[in-house]
Amino acid sequence: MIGPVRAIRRSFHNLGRHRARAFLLAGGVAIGVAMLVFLLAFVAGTRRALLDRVVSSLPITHLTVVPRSFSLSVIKFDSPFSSLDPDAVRRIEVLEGVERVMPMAALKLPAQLRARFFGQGFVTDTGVFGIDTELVADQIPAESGFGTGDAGGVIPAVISEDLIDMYNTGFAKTNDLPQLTPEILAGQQAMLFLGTSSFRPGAEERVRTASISLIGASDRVPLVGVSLPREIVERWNREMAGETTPQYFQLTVVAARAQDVEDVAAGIESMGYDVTSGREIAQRIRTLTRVLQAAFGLIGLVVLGVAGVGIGNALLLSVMERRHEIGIFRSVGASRGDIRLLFLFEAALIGLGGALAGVGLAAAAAYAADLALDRVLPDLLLLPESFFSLSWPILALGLSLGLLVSILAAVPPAHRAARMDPARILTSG
Amino acid sequence: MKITCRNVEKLYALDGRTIRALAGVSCEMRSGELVVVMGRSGSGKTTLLNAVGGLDRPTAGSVLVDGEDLYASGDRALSRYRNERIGFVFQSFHLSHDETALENVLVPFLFARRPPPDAAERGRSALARVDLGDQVDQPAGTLSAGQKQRVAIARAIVNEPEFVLADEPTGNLDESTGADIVALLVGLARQGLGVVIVTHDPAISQVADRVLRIADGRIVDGADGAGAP
Repeated sequence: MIGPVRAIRRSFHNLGRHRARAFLLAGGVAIGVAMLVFLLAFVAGTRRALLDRVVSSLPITHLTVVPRSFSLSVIKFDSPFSSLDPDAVRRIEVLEGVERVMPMAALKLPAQLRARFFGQGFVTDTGVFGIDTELVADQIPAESGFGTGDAGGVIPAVISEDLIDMYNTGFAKTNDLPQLTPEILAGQQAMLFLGTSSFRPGAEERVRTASISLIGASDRVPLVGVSLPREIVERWNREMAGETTPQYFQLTVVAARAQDVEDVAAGIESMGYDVTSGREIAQRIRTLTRVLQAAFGLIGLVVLGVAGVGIGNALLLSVMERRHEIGIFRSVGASRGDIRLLFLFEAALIGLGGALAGVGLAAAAAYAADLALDRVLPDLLLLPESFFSLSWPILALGLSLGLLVSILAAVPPAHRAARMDPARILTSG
Repeated sequence: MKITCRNVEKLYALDGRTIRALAGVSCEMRSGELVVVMGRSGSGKTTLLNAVGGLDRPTAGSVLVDGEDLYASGDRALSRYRNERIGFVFQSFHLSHDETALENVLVPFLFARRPPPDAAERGRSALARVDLGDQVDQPAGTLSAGQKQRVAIARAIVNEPEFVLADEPTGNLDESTGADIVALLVGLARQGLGVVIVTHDPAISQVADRVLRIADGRIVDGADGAGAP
């Protein structure tokens, strides 16, 4: 009886004798495993990046509440019975499991932003939004004074990270302007002209100005515009637009605990509002990436299967070529099980070698792809560190599938070798 | 060790026909005896040798080794029998040409229950016994036909078996080299091994202790022991 140690040693010896074929077969496994690992790592990496983004912009305990809307083809209507006002805020605040409600208000007037960037004058229509300090407290410098009002005459303002990305990848390039970062923008002053815009110029005597200073960027504020402390926007709406009761376009509701999110969402929905939670978005991302993972996994498995068929055929050929060796082994004491074991170990070593090479290949390809993407998309603030997640489960899956496919492919040839009649082989010359 | 064949029959299916290779052979072979099995091609000589060596299960009858039915046991026990008690030598040598003489000789230890710790030394010693002590590291493919057959004999005896079964060992050799190989086999028999040589070369029968003549699957002359016709 040969035993596993001697079988492995002999299998190594045999692979060394038939090096070219062994490399070719291991190469097939390597390509299959590399493709499988690369694709799965890409989906996992993308999922991680998307989830990071979701968790950052809408943490797991946070819910976004908007008035219920109805869609008729491409036209969307807000329900007239679903307005968000201080009364709605109070009713939501008292729901069980709600820790805090942070409304977002929009200026009810047109507005224009004028500034000087890099020595050039810059004028643009803009949205003006009012947000709670707590919404961005962890994303802006603590000493910025956001939320303390405009006592000093200059109002602190936050802009969207996505807006900076859009500027960098579009506007800056087409106008040959320098790239921006939140650090460069910090401290940048601008003037807001309230009550006028390029579409609706306001009478000069009714236009009011305010000086703002950018203090940071956030992925939780509205995209197109500047976000100021909510009290200021509410005051401007009261004084300039005659708004008696503040109307909000969105609330951010914070649940006390992650497990409260579903109950809180159900409670708010029953009040006639539409609710989106980070968990829901994360769930959608997970579902989508699972489907992608299954599809890509299937592609990798097909390639591995083809490699397996190749291994099976090559080993079958090898069995025929080595029939005299098999006959001699039987004549000197090899049992059928020993012969079977030898062929299976050879296939396992090919599979293991191929799978290890495949994992290495996938890691190298992922590194190269990251470098390439980094070169193609250098200006995106939100570019993840890597688009690939070469996690241990994926690596282990690649290794074990490479090994398993090789062993399974070797079962028929190994069985055939074991069933060969040594008497016939050895007397056939 | 004594090997006894009792009414051994072997049928083959070939191209849809049934071939009777052995038709009730009974004979006996003992350690220390050199038996030559002679007969024309297709007479059943090799089939008898393979049946005695535990390589080819008879269709009917029995092969007794020291009174025990060899084929009553399973594949593993038969493999052990071939590994520990029998050494085969074939007309076509059946060596791995890309491996050295020593590597070829050590193959039986690969399947031994307990390979001896001095396996390599035993391999060298077996090669020395067949006068190839200086060719240990030569790839088998580079050796002459006579040297290859000597390596095959060294492989057959490295495990110190009780019987060496040689199937046409001189069939691929010239007369002089063949004579050397026969002398080697005679020497093994004189050292106490049972040696069975299957051949159709009448010259080899000159050195035999006993000659079994076989025709159409039956022993026609020289049988010894139980149930000889």
